[in-house]
Amino acid sequence: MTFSPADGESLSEEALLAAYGAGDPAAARLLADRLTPLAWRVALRLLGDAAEAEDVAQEAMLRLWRMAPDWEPGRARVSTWLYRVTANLATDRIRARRETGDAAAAEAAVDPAPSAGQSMLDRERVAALKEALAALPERQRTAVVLRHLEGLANPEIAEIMGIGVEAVESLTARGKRTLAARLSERKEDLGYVDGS
Amino acid sequence: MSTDRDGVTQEDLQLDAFFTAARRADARLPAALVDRVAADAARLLPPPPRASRGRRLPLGWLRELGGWPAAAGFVAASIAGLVIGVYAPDAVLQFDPTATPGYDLTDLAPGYGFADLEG
Repeated sequence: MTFSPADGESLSEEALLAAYGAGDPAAARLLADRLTPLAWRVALRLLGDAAEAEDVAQEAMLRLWRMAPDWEPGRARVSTWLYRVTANLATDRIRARRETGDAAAAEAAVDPAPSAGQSMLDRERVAALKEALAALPERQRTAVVLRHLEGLANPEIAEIMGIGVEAVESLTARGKRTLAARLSERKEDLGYVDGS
Repeated sequence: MSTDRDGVTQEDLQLDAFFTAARRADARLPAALVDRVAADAARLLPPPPRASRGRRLPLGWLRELGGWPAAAGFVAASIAGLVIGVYAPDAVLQFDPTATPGYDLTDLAPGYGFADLEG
């Protein structure tokens, strides 16, 4: 069985992965097109470094290809699995940075070019948020990124992080409090109105 | 910290502006990355499952006869015949198809006037 690009719109990731596991090369390309952006985006948001995000996304997808023949349908969503692997790989890199004292270099990493329509205030806000996120403990950072930048629901975040929903709520609440405190320090530059 | 009726704090509203800006600022996915990922996928593509036709036993004749249910019935009938032959051989030995008496239609329906039908 082979799939055309038009099929990629209608087929689930699980169906495409099963087809890849059965040796279908067309499914491979469709999955790469659909899932690579997800892995790369979340890696970039967690790491704040474009080059590292590419490495992590490629490694996460590599693990997906290797796991495909053993995939058990109905056990989890492919995207959930990929979020988990990507977040774990990114967390490993963040820890390695801290162990090698390379945090300053990572924070100074060059981001991809901002989009053309981005206002100056937006750019400053994005840069400030990135800096504040980088200072959060890993689990708080992961929870905040998945909840507020990826837009996932708490139960899915709980599954990705292997914790309970209440723990997710606690992590995001604490993370947001820390972010708010850090960003309010620069409220005049960033249009942040201290609501306390 | 001020909170409105929905439990949304002023802090949430302020942070939302930052999150929205970050979502809007999504950088463009490097096209070369997707190509590398697709190349990995092609390199690791599992072999398609081998056609199992070549490994099957030559049981085409069995399918012609009705498949495994028919075979099971045939085996059951054979065993039953064997058991009868071993435990009640007299019933089998006394059976003589040539000794079966002939029948006439009148034996089957004696009250019916077959002679009238002859015209």
